[in-house]
Amino acid sequence: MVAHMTKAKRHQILMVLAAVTLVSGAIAWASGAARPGSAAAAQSGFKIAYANSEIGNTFHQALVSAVQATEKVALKSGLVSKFTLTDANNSPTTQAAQIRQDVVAGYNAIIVDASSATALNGAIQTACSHGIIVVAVNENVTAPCAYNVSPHWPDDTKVQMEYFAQRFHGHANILNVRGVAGTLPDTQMGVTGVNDVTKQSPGLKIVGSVYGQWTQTIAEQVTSTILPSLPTVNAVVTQGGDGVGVYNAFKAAGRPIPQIVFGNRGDELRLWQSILKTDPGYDSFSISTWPGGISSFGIWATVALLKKVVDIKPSYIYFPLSEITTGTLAAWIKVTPPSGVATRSFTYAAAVAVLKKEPNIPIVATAGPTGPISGL
Amino acid sequence: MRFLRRRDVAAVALALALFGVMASVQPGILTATGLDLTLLGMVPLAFAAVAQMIVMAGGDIDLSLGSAMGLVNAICATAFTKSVWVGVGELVAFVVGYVLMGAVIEFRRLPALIVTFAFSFIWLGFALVVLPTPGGVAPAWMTQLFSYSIPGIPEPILLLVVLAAASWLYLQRTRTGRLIRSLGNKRLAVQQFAAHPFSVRLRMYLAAGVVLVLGGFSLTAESSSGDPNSGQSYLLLSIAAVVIGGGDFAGGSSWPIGAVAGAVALGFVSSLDSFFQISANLLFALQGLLLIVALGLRRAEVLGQWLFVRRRGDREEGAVTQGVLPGEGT
Repeated sequence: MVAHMTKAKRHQILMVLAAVTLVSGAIAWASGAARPGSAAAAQSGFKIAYANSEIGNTFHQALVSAVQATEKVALKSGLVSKFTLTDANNSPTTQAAQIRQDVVAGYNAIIVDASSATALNGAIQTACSHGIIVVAVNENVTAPCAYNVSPHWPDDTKVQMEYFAQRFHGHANILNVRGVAGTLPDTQMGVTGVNDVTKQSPGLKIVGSVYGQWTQTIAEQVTSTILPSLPTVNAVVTQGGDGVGVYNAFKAAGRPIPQIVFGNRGDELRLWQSILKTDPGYDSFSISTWPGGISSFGIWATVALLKKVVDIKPSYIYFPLSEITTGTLAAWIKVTPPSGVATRSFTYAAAVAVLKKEPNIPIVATAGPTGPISGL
Repeated sequence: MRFLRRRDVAAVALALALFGVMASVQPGILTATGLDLTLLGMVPLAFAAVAQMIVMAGGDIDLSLGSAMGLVNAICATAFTKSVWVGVGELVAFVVGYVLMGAVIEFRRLPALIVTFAFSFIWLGFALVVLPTPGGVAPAWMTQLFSYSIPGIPEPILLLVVLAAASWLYLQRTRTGRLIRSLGNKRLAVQQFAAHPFSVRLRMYLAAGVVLVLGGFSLTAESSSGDPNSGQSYLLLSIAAVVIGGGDFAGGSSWPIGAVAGAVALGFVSSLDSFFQISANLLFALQGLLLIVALGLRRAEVLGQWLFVRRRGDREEGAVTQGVLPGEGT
């Protein structure tokens, strides 16, 4: 193979050199542009790293914007002197590498929104053995040395099923719309929570089970596929991000609309509101968790643990699920974009108040976008 | 300057450059602990890249790699708690299944892309049967195997060097290795070697399968638990590592050092934002840019000529160089 320098090859090299310059410039600009409040850093504050799993869906977008808002408050107050946010595009490999880098860089605490309940355990163990506090938010991890801040996911579906038991007097055909197979939240909601109630009320029959993957389009597709084989469906137990898809599937099939529980998504709340306009007797509610609440609560809980304001050993720190009723629906729709999730954040003081009450906090809290949170 | 013409120079250069950049921002990684922690996560990817490289050398591509690693991970985290023989048995069954996949591809001359894509669901299904939700526990001996270290030299470096050397030896210095590369380049040549393409294909998938099992071991040791979905991200990263390292979709060549270096480079790229606090939305665009730069640099031979051949006339006439034939990977 004879190599010779043609004009084309020379241009190729220049393009490569231009690309390298572009990339270096981009890195320099991006890191300069995104470096938060280092000018306001106090010497005595803590250094916290936040290892996020993904930002590719509305739930996580809401989580991350709450992180950035809370970070500003934390840096300004001097409680935190350095805060880094990394994202792993839902790859456990990448996330584990980022956690290890945080250990090398010497952070005091690492907050993790895990892309896998177990694949990060090695990295988390390493962090713990270096004396770093590891707090898992939103997605639980099984590493014994980590704190798990999460809603009690089985109760998300348990509350739904108990409501069906009461409304249908113990006898109903129910469609179980689940999330992504093989993940811990899906098992906790779609299996544990549901079975807890069917054991007590055997008249509640699960006539079908589909994986909606917390995505409206997929939920619609899998529901449409299973519908022809199902008898009358009285109610649908959901995990959030699937209500609109399920409704559309039933409508397209010409079936009577069952009682669907919604998941606090902006599009689901609006759908619920439009159903109520034509059918004011449509009896439902919406339940999920505030993404902003989880991340802000997680950050403040980490600060509280670092400051030793509370003495809690690594274990579950439960966080209430949030329920939206017809009473608070309109107020929530006003502050939730159609592609968003209903959310509100915690202040440091509010978070410490909850921590001091652990483990006796309510499983479900009902509240509007502002004002007091019932039970807390 | 002949080495600049090697197709794996770009990968090694990129890995070293990224390491240099990271070391300048975070000197902590220059310690033994720092190096160990930094390179640890790249070991499973390096195994995945080598497995993919073997398959690509034979002219195929393995889209089931991610699910396969997830399956091995799931097996390691469950079967060995019952007994070593159950674990060994299940892993052997997996390798047999993997070779069977190669048989299906060769027997009907089906496109590897489609067959491996279909098999990715079979592996995932088995993984979910073995381990329905993330959990399980890595056997203690497996974790110890991968944390054994010679004082001063972090184990990941040893593993990466041994892996690159072993795969180079296999593909460049054994008859089977040469046959595998010929299969990807010129099927006729295989018959001239008096070997049957079918048997060569099987041997190729056997080698890749064994590497995947070892990769699954390292993944299990690194995460100390099992998750059927944990291997998914390795698929595209392994292909990228092989291509950055000089490999070709057309088959016929293998660049083991390049594949391992490509895996290391990609590992550094993943950790970039820990150092530069880059906005998450921009990060993936940057990673993509880096990949394109790396691919552009693959033709470093041209860059080397441009930098080191002085007279314009020489360059334009085309200084004759002893080229490297596609089948030779050295």
